[in-house]
Amino acid sequence: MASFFSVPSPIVAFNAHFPLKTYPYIKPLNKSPVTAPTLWIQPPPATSQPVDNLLSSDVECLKWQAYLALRGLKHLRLRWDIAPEGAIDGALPNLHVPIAEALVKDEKLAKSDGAEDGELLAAHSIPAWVDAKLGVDSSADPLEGYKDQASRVESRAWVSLLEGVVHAALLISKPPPSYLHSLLFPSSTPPISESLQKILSAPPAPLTGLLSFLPPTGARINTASILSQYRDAIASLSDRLGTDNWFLGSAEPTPLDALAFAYLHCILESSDTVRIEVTRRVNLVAWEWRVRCLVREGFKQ
Amino acid sequence: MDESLPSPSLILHVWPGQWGLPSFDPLCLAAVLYLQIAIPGKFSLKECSNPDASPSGQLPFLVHDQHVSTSFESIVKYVSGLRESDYEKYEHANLDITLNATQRSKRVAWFAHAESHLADLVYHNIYANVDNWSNVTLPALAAIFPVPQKYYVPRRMRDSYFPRLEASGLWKSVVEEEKPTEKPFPRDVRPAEKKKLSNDASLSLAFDKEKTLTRARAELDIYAELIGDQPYTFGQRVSSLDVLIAAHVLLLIYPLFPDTLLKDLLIQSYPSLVALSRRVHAVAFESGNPDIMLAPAASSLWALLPSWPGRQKPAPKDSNAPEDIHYTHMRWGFVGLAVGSLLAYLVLVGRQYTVTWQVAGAEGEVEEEEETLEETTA
Repeated sequence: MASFFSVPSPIVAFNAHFPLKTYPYIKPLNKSPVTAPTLWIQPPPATSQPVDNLLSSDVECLKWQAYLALRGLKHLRLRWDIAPEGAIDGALPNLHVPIAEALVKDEKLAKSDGAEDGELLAAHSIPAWVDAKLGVDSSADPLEGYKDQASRVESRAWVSLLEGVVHAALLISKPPPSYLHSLLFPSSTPPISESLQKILSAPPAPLTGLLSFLPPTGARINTASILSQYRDAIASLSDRLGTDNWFLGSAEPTPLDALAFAYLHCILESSDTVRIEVTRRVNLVAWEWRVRCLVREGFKQ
Repeated sequence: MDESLPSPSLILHVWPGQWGLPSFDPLCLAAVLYLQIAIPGKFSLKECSNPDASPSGQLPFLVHDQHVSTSFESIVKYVSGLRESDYEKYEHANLDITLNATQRSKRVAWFAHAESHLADLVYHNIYANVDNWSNVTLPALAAIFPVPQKYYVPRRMRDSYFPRLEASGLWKSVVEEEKPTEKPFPRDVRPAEKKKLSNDASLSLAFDKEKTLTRARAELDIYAELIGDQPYTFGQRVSSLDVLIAAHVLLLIYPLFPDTLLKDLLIQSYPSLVALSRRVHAVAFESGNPDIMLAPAASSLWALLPSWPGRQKPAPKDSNAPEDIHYTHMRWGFVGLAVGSLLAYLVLVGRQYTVTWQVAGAEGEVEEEEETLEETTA
């Protein structure tokens, strides 16, 4: 059949003037194969001390850093040159692991073309990866590492306190960037009022008033009430910790400890209004310092 | 009998009552229950449909003489503090007085959890669920507001809860409804198209119900474990945390919604939570004095314009204080002195002058009235 329809020779002669040239494959310049598990995080604060501080300025990234370190993993790498838009779901942190340690164990995948790129895991897959690496099964423990069932239930309340009021106080204490700065460097994060609408218990009223004819814009954020609730939250956190090693009297560090450390560290790096509440509580400061040394161990090069 | 009693100076402003409960908002209902248990008969309730009147733009808020507290936590704190300031009058104002330090710190954490997780379930039931919204909530809300607002404010209120419920997974952003496809050329014969799963509204609704049920079970399990076998969360006495939990549970079981998913789940699987909420309701309303209602606020078209925050009329001063009476007397005395001295001056100086006016066309002179203005040479 193919010989039935052949290209007429004048056209072949014409096409011979335009030969098809194939160029060799161009490898990307700054790509290096991943050799160790690398956590992609937001960069550490520029003004932090000591200068070789490896702890992220973002609460979410720091929470996962602390989680990895407190579960006993060592020699993990960090990189902070990747924008959040380049991560899975548009949110850092992500964990980049070599193909040998990937969650998906497949021989064919290990030998395929992009194998040296490894696998990129979103934040919610990190616990499963850690379990696989350490060879333990977290779901087998009904108490999830807590002392007893009552502590496990109580930990939910502390998580929602930290992610609610304390997070809101952190958000409002950040100084907003100047107008010029926001024009020149548009930020990819949503404005504070939107994040606060999701966190606060009652949705904040619009600036133009709920009942007015004007379309609702803006949000009336009651800073004084948020700060007063924050003070109560820190006081109760300090009372609950007391002199224990880990929160709720657990024997080993739990995810609640990682979350608490992330928030305490970010508070201590932020402005005075929120910082002063934590610095008043000696046990919280001491606990944060101790856990900070532990977390740094996990990321030492 | 009631005319002799002065009206209480503690006024709590809440959203109006619905479905047999004093308020349809969980935090407002919790505030009413707390005040009714802590200081029965010493406060009055005002049903307010204008949240812009509050200093923070949200209800509930409490006004006590010159002090205003907004948000449920600050109301609880303030009322508990009344016990220290005036022990005889507000002896039982602090429901958490028997808690130790650990329990107090746990209470703060549980407050945060209840206000985010339990409240998500309540708001989902009231606002997000389409059946409940269109059949029950929207007519109820529209009845609360006066004429111009009733057409746009309920929708606004519903939209304000959307970001939070979407973030917690209890409100699907787009409900795709099948539009009947109109064929431009009806005589064309086309093969029947397979209905795509993603466009099937009824199927996606069924999945959403499953998701909501799983989510609700996870949250309510936590509270069932917290309460356990005890009558209340922290032992034998009702505390502010019980009031908060009960307010949310009451709003899940009392209203007569067409979609009874959460109500059935609670009644069948979580009898301890239902019992706790009924116990708290009984303590609040079946013992002690009934609360005193104020007249509802008159609606006005001024509410349409955006209001400056903090423009609240000051409480009417009762001038029973002796200093006030003295001050009033002195003030009027001073005014009287000024006017009297002016009159005296006029009389003294005016002796030199006489006033003449001629009544036009009056032939019969009335001698007493006619005076002539003449300058007497001094």
